[in-house]
Parts: sequence; structure tokens; C-alpha cells
Amino acid sequence: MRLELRDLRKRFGDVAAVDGVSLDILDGEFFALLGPSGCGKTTLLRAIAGIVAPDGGQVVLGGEEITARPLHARNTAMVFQNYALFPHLTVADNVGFGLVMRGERKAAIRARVEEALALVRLPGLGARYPTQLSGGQQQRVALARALVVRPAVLLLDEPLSNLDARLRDEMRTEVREIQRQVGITTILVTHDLHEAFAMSDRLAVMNAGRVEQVGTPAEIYARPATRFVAEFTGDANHFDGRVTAVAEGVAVVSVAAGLTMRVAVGDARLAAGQPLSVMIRPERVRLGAGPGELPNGFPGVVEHATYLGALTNYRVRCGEARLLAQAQTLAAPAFRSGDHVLVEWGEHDCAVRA
Amino acid sequence: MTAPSARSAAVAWLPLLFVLPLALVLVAWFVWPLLGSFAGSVHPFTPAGIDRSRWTLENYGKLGDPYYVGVLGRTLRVSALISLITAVLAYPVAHFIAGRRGRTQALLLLVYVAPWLVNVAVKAFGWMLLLGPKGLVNRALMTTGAIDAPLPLVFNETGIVIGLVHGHFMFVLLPLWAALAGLDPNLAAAAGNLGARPWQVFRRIVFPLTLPALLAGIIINFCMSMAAFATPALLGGARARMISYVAYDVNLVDLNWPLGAAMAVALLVVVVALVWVSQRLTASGRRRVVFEGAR
Repeated sequence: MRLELRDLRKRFGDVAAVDGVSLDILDGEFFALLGPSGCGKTTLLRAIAGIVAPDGGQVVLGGEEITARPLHARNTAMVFQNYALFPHLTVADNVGFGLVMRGERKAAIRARVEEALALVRLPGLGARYPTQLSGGQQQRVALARALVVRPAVLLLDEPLSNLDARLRDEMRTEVREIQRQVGITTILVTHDLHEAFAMSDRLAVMNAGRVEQVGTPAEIYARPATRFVAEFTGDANHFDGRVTAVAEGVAVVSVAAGLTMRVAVGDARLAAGQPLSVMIRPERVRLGAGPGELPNGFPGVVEHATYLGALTNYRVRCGEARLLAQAQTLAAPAFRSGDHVLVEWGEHDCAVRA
Repeated sequence: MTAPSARSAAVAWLPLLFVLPLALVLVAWFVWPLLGSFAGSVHPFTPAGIDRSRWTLENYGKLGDPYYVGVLGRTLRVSALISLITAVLAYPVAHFIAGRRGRTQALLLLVYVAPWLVNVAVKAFGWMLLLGPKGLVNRALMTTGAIDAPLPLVFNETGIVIGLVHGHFMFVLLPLWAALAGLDPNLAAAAGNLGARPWQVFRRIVFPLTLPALLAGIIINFCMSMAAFATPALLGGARARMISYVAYDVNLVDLNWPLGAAMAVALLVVVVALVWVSQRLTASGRRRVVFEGAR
């Protein structure tokens, strides 16, 4: 079901945990809220569920305003970071809890619990207690318990953060598969960039209670709207400078570090003298021995090379500027520290912010 | 190469050393006299003292006397009532305290523990002044016209119940507060999120998870009430004697130690049996299936 948040606000004492958030999450969409801890993403999720009462704004679910509706009447289902399984109930009773509360009949509950446990690939574990299960199994039970009530929205609060790295990767794919199968609108809260990118259709990057940018993972990575988004979503080279000339969608920018570069600016209306920030991801920066082929080329010296297996990270000094570059390692790292290189990138490899 | 095994054997014994001092104290001043009491209870009482040359069960037979049965019955009934009232009253208080901040919690707990810091006789006299026929409560009720004659609030079972609910409140409150404060708040949120109304959250989640603590508190409270002496003696008066007072009478006024010992043993057996049964009940309650109880 479609979920709209309109100017949602929540303060805890002096801290604005959620500071005017508006989002429009589409029916069936997998939407991630990405941000550092304390950015308000969990509070936002809890406000949607009704666990936290917002100070202002509206929560609209399927066209109906539910801001003041009590927790138990919302038809949202949440998977908690610590799973919050009921320790005194069996797995079957945990999964069936929401159905008992909805007054379903015993036979129907039993069938749907079986079905939900099969969906999360835990058939036959209904008689166990949560403490008798591994972390990954508990996570699946929590997911089954949420899905079995066929909620309007599925809310996932860092559901994979307590799993070890390998299991986490597996569960990412699996949770996403299940979500596609069921076709349920899902909101994932995470501080893990890769989790957000791997699982979501669209995401919102949050900082200090506000949404910095909303978009698909590719849009956010390639065209970060703010410096915070650029830095939170990966490594980046940033240059602050001024436009010296504009022609045919390409601006010439002179940046503080003493470099002058040509960047594509699309239809943006820019005038000479205007300040402009330029961002280039390290993997867009090419290192070569020369001669140059691309419009932006600067001679530099490799200061440091970090071998990562498939990839190698380089730190290169070009005059006063220091640049990060990342290249695939084909046989051996191509350059060592002290090597003279030509640093290059194209007009379209950059993202600009006025 | 015997060193490692010798060392691990020494390590295995080490924890027992920590238990030993208190165990010795308990054996010397509790278990040994208790065994002595039990031994005394199976010998006849004569004007010359305990006749240890003869064995008898007549002391236990005397406990079948309607007077003693009545006293034991009253003691059980009053103690059970005190525990029940305390449990019902303690839940909201524990819930309220557990929901406050750390410092406020400590202060509120101190308020509820404070009665325990006051001498029981002083508290009992205080209650007499408040609850007596010409006490504050009765005078206030008569002045407002709510009653015509003073309510009998002391020198009966009511007086004992009021005095001991007040005096032993913290024995239920403290374990219950600890259990509620330690409960993961996400559990209640998860239950609500799955459609449980607040009272269902309490019935299905909070209550079962805090039941062991509640029962522990009730058992302590019950045992303390069964064994209480000064409060029931002063607030119960001659009409509502509890077993502790009668045991005192038999032991120190009649000097009939064998009968007193038989009473002590009977009381111990009854209390231990009740504690055992209540613990068995909690253990079996855990295995119940919720949705098997659905329509």
C-alpha cells in the first residue's frame, strides 16, 4: 500500500530526531532509509508503526490518515533489530501471535503459520523456543511473524545487523526475494550503504533528522545532492571552485587546488564567476602513463597504492591537490608510490552542485 | 604430566570454598537447632521437662486439636490474603517505577522500602492510633457521616492484613520492579505492532514474562507473613492469634518445648510444600500453546 509522510516531526528533549520529513513510498516498493546512527531513521520507522507519537505532521497509509491511530490498529508489521521474539512462546506461537490477536480461527492460524515458516525456509521448527535457534533462524522467525499478518507495510529496523557477514549477504538476497514474491510495500532502516543499495528500489539518505536526498541507488551514487550524501555513499573527490566559462552544456571550473577542469553541467543555467562544487568518484579517475585522451588530464605522482585484490586504491598528488583513484587490478598493481602518472577523467564523470 | 589434571581438580573445588563460610554458619546456627527441634518434637513433655528416653507422636496428635487447626488455618488464610492483596497492589506501582528515569526509580524505591526501616512495634502502634475505634480513620468517617459506628479495623484479622501488607510490600515490589525494568521494551512494542491491545500485551507478554518474579515475591511475602510475630501479635489482639504467637506462648509461657517444636516442624512442612507446589505450577505454565486456545 502507498505510504505518504507529510512534514513529520519528533523531538526528544532538545534534539530534533525527525525534523520535517516528507516522503512518498509507492505501493509494492522496497524503500530504504539510509543514514548514520542518530540520524532519526529508526524514530521515523517507529512513528510509522505508531510506537512513537510524532509531534507534528501526518502519516497517510493507502490514502487514509493514520497519524493518531493507536499502534495495535495500524496493520503495519515490524522486524526489530534484536528481533524481539517472545521468549516464553514457541516459534509457532510467535508467528501465530498476530493472527490470534486478529481473532482468526485455530485451523486457519495453524495453516498460515506453516505457510509462513515454509516461506522463510524454516518448516518443522514450530515447536522450538526462540532461544533454541541460531541468530539467522531467529531473524527468519521475526520475518515470518511480520509477514503472516499480511500487513499493509513491512517495516525492517536494521534486521540484518546482528548477523555475521556471510549470512548477511545471503539474507539480503533472500529477504528481497520474499518481498518480491509477496509484493508488499517495505521500508528498510539501515546504516549500511551496501545493504541499502543491494536491496532497495529507492532510498532516502537521512542526516540530523532530515532527508538529504531521495532516489534510486544509481541516482544517489552518481549524482549526490549534497556533500554529506556523496561522502556517506562512498569515497569521493571534492573540489570547490568557480565557473570561468560556460558553453554547450560544459563549464570550465577553476578549483581551489589550482586545477582547471571541464565538467558537463547539462541544462543548468550557470554564469561565469558563480561558485560550483565538483565531485568525482575514485573509480572514474583513470591513471595512465600518457599521452592523454580525455578532456581533463593532470600530471601527478602516486603517493600511496593500497592493494585490495580485485581493486587497487591510489592516492595521487597533482600539484596542491590530492586525489583518490581506484582501478581494477588486472595482473599486478599498475603503479607504485613514487611513479609519475597522468590523472584523467571525462566531462561526464563528474557531478556538480551549485 | 599429572600437573594439569591436579590443577583442574583444585579449580573445580575452588567455588565450594566461597560457599563454605556461610554454609558453616547455617549448619551451626540454623540446621543443627532445627534438627534439635525436630528431635524434641518426638519426645513426650513431662512436668520435669522433655523425657528423651521415650518416643511419641502425641505432640503432632495435639496439633489436630480444633484450636490449633483453627490457628494454622487463620495463619494460612491471612498470609495468602496479604500476598494476594500485595501482588495486586504492587503491579501498578512496579510498572510505574520501572517506567521512570534511573534516579527517580531509586528515590521511589526508597519510599517503598522505607517502612521496612522502621521498627515493627512502632509501626504497629502507629496503625493502632490510625485505625483504632477512636482513631483518625474512624473519626473522619464518622464526622463525614459515612458510618454510624466505628469500623473494627484493628485487633482482628483486618488489622493484621493492613499492618503486614504495608510492612511486607517491598518483598513483592522489588523482584517485580527488577523484572519489569529488565524487560525488553521492544517486546511490548512488537506485541502491539502485531495487533495486541494494551491489556492483551499485559496478559500475553508482560504478565507471563514477569510471573516468575511475581511468584518469587509472593513466596517471600507469604513466608514472611506466616512467620511474622510482632505485627500480628499487636494488631491482631487476642481474637486473631496467628501461629507465631501461639508457638511463642507454648514455648515460653507453657514451656512445652516438644509441642512447640512439633508446631515449628508442621509450619515448616506446610510452607515448604506450598512453595514447591507454586514453583511446579510456574514451570508447567510455560509449555502452554497460545493459539491452541484460540477459537
